[in-house]
Amino acid sequence: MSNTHGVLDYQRPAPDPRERVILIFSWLWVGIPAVWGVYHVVVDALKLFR
Amino acid sequence: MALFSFLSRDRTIATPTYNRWRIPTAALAIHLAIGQAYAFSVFNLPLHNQESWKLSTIGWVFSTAIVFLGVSAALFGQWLERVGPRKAMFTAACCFSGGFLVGALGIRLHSFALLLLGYGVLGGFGLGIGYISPVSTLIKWFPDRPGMATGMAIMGFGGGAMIASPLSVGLMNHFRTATSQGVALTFVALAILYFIFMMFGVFSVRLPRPGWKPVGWTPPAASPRLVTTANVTVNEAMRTPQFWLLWWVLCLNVTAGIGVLGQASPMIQEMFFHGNRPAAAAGFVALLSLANMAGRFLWASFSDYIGRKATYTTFFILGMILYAFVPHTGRLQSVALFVLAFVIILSMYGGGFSTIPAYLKDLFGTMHVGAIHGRILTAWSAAGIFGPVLVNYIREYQIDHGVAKANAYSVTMYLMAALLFVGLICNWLVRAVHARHYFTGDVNAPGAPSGAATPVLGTPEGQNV
Repeated sequence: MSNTHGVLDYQRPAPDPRERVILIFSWLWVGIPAVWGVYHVVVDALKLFR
Repeated sequence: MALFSFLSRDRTIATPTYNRWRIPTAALAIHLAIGQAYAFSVFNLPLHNQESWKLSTIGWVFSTAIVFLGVSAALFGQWLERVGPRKAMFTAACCFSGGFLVGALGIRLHSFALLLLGYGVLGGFGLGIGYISPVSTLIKWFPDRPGMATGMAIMGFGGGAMIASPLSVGLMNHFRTATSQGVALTFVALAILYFIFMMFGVFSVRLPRPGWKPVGWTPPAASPRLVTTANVTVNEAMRTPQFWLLWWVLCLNVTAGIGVLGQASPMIQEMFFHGNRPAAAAGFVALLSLANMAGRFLWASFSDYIGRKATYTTFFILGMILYAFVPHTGRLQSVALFVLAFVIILSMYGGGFSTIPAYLKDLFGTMHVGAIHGRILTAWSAAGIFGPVLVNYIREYQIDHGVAKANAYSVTMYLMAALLFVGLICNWLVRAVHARHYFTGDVNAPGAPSGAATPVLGTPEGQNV
């Protein structure tokens, strides 16, 4: 089997499970503070409609 | 020094299994931190109460930081392309956190000059270097969606204040004593927290291998008219009319947005609430922050589909209509329409920041896009002066000449619409860069101007999709 570039699929490196864990941790690292910040702004923004 | 060899460009090249979706998180770790600058105003009143410095004097700290953001972005862009993103991010983290520490010392010693030198100058350098550090790396990892990638990072800068504001207030409450507002210790805590947070970005960031491209992606055979596959050096880019047209495009778009951003709270109060609902006005400002942040991601992502020129054309035409419409919302006494108009305006203000790196990449290629982006950010510094001055002085002039406060913003809105019309003309004049400006050497050669290669065909590597 080959992809659109003529490279055999088995030539691609296998997915690294460690890499997936790092990826999830990376998004949590920036995501949790961002969600916390957005939560505070949404609470403030709702005052406009009260 | 061997101790810092992990910062070198060579040590930043990605392994074949590296997932490119880690790059936006590295960029966000930097931008969410330095976006704190927009929340500096939370320290104004505590510093005024503790040190008896005038509020207008304290305001200079933020202004200085923004000026040095522009200066350092312009000065260090070329250096960034040479040393790579990791060293630049590390330098940004040191400057930004160092700025807080020197600022804390200034507060402790009751020295405003030291606070200005710390947060304003040193911290400002951290802002500028940090702002541009992930941009060209993102574009190299996401040649298929450069707008979305840079939009995500620059959205972080818009969102940084949302984290910093409640965090700073919480820390000041924790450190407050009978004799101190706790600002100095809050600065120290923020320096440590932000340094750790940014280090995550420093260690995560990687450069793609020369020749890498996303699996399954082939560069379009025929590029749209404005999109080049060639490269232009930063110094050569500044000799093109396209650079200066985009400088004005950015400056005018930012001027229009920044002018009303600072006046949003008094504007809605005077036009609709007669000064009776400060909480609702604060809610309006918060809503505008959300619109600014969301616009950075949404408009830049949208530009991947409709093109950068069409995106800015939308900003200018829609902006003109909305600015001209705002005075009518006052006459109609429709808060909903007023809020809706400004939500869209502020989303386009944010979108203007986040779409510009991809526009530069389209016109000048990827080789020096970070450095060119740094130079064009001086338009932001200029807009930071023009915008508030225009809004404030025109409003004061009208009130001094007997115009009611509620009606004093109408002329300003029409003037903003006129500025956007000039921006529309500048954007309309943008054409593809002439081939005589192209860099003709090998971008992969050791002696070539610093910067990584443009992705080439036929060498897919890694699991990056």
